[in-house]
Amino acid sequence: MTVKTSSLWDIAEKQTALIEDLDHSLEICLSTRLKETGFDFGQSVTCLKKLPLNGPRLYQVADSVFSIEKSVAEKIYIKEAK
Amino acid sequence: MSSILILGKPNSGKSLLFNRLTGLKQKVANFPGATVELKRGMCGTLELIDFPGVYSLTAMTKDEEIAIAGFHQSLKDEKIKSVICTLDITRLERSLVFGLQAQALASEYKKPIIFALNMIDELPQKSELSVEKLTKLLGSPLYALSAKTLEGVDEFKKAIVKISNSPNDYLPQGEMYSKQKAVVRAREVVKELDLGGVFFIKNQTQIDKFFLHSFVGGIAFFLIMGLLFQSIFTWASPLMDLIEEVIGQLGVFVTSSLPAGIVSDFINDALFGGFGSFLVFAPQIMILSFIIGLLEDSGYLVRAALICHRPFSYFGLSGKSFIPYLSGFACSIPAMMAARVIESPKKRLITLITIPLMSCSARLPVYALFISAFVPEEKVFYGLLDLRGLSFFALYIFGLLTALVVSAVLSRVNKKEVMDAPFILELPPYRLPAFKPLAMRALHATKSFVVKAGPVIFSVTAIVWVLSYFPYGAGKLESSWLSQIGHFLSPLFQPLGIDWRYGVAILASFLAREVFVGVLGTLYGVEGADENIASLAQNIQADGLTFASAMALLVFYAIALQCISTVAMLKKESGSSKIAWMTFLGYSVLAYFLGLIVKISLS
Repeated sequence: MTVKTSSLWDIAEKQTALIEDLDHSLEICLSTRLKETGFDFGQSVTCLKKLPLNGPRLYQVADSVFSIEKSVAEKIYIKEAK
Repeated sequence: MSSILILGKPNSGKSLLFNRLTGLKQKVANFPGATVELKRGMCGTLELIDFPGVYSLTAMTKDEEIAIAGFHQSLKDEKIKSVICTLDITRLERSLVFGLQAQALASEYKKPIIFALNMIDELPQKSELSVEKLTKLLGSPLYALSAKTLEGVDEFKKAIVKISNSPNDYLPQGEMYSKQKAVVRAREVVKELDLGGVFFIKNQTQIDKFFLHSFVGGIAFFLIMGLLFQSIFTWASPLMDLIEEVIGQLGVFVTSSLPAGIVSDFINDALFGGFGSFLVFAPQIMILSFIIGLLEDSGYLVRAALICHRPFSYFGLSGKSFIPYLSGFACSIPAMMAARVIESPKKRLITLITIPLMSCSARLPVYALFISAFVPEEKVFYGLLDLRGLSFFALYIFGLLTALVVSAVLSRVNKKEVMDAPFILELPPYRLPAFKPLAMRALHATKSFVVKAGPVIFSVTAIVWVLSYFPYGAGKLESSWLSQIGHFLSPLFQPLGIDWRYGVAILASFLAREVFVGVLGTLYGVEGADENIASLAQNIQADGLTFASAMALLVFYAIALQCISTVAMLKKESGSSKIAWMTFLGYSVLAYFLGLIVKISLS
């Protein structure tokens, strides 16, 4: 099943999505860091874990796992989620 | 002398490799005006310079900016013959992004780069690693090794000597991939190697299911933190007693061989009494550093920061603030050093300013004195809990809550735009730490604590000793200059319901809190008050100090920043003497007025 969603924050646990774009309001150094980290156009990202109280979430991208807080994850747009 | 730079991503085993290559002899220095550390050590005739780990050559924080500017500066130096870059085999793609950027930078400055493909001991047996293929793909020498098990380290040592002797023969070959191009190239290289990095993720995710579980993970967190807390107080205790005993015996031995007089009094009181009481805290620093290192190297520390991040963010702090806070229950000085892990400059500053509100071990004697004098020895909650123990706990919680409130206020008052780092954490795999490097780090942290804080402590101890000794000499504290200052300031302490003796003890304890009990003991004529708190408590009760005043004093001590070495450390870590002295003044005023409110309310 393919579900249209808007940001990385919206995907459910164990769901995978492809990165569409990064919000253009992000500071250049932050968007560069995110791209270098693997949150770049066309890359596949899986949500591994959601922490309580809207805490940072765990995302797997390539061979690494990152925890990202809501304010950043909401600015990473995804194309699709499976 | 020829030198080599060591670069790498955090958690790529860079520091462990540096320790393995250089052994115990290392020098640590900060970049001018910053807390970013550079470590130097010798590997044979070569000097190795260990740079702080960074994720990228595009800076996101002030510290990264300083470190990256440092790479550029160092690479211009003729003395630098080559660059070592550590790569983590378990996170090869991410490591290569930085590795390729570093290679492009080294190439720009006509220096060879040597890749240290670290952690090969963690590769599953079925994985086939082709070092030759990877070397060819990267166009620079590459050596597979494990800094933990020492596999391949000797061969690597020989290689760096050989390459540094003829650097021009090993310059990077082929196309260079800087900035964003490195991301794409790293992906291509890993795809060609097909190492199956997901294997490590699967293992890690299984353990994370436990440690990051909403309920079980929370219990594990409190148990681990409880163990850390316990270690600070219980495990350090025999060593602290031993140091105290040795210093005491040494004091007796030295002073007994000297004629009675000012020199003997100074050595006995200021050197062995004052400075010696500071050295007693060294085992706590060592054990704390060891356990924090253990948590860090095992990969748990990052998870703990993750668990704390959301609750702490309500108060303008980072999840990473919890480690300095926890360390602060032992001593503010190593806690401030631990705050260096916080990338966000604003959150680090707020953490630094609020660390002194954690009830450090130096407050314990003061708490013990007033609790034993005014809180009855009773069991409560059906005999399960001790009232005095609960009072101690309440004071610790009071300190923590005050720190959170102050943090919340500071984060809302200071809304100035700064280059701040968002919370993006890479979760390293879980690993069994190597014992020897951990012990070395703990020893180094202890040595650094004694060397840095020692001179300040000694200077202020000497000043307070002079004020308490003159003009009439030993045993005349009541008529000393310190006492005169105490009498002069007594109107200030009167609203709290305390007389000049407490004023003198408070003034003396601005040097270090633990001095309070000893000075008060001297003024009440109780010999060895530090060890004989019960006798001093009886004297205080008999003298008519009210419950309200005692509680006001406890609140005062829980908040006031009475530790000159903490002020010195705050100045060093914040890079501002204004911040350090404003914090000192702010907490003194807050402590006084909250004490006053408690006194008035309970009266």
